[in-house]
Amino acid sequence: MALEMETDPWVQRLSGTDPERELAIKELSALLHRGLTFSLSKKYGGGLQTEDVVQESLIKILKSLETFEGRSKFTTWAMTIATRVGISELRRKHTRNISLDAFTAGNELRFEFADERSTLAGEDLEKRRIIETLQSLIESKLSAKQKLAVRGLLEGMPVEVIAERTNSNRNAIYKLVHDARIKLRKGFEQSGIVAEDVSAIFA
Amino acid sequence: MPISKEQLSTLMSLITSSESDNLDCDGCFAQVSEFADTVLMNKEIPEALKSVENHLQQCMCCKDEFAALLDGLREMDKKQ
Repeated sequence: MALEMETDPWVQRLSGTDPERELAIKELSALLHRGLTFSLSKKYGGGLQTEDVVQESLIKILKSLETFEGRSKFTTWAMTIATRVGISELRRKHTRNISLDAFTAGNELRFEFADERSTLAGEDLEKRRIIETLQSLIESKLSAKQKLAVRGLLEGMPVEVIAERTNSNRNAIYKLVHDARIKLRKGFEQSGIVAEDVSAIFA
Repeated sequence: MPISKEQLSTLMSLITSSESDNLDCDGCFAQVSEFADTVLMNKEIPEALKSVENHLQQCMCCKDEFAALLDGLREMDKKQ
């Protein structure tokens, strides 16, 4: 592993001395700038400050050089870090006006469906049964934190933003939501509701 | 605030597509560069990276980041 680090030209140059190090930083900056401008310019409403993201990414990359294990191309590894930095920034900006508090009435979060009345009054009995089952499962199987996290996701909040707003972390929120999904799926199965039918009806 | 028809559809999709996932987002991030190179080289996904592939199918955020990563890498390769 150490040998791979030593033999990777990028790592050698970036951990070397000027002027080679400075040149390598410039080249890497230009590459990341190109990649990010293309990949993130239209995501989450755009507005990415690419220069800032590249600078922040470079700091992280240079600090983490020792952790590069050579299991991918160096530029792929660097771009992975830069993409995470850039997309996190965009997600924060894009969701800054969405409040999780808006989904709760007092301390209680309820799932109500906009087309519930028309659907329940309609002729589609299977659809009606699935929605009623879902509502019942959400109330009986999900914790308050799970309801809040799922609701946040449905409002377009990425897990990392939900994590920030709830003083948690991305892994914990992902697991919370994933466990909720599994519980609801099992609940459907126990109620005789087949995933294929749900997909066909609600596609 | 009621859940819209589109949100209901998303929720149903999240439920019906849920599968077990033994990786978290950090675990995915640690291996996603290697996974990206494998995908870009059109190689078969090795057993060791199957968990990354599975996590990307389960996690919307990581999937979204991975799509952006591939876009960016393709663009970088074009200009090199």
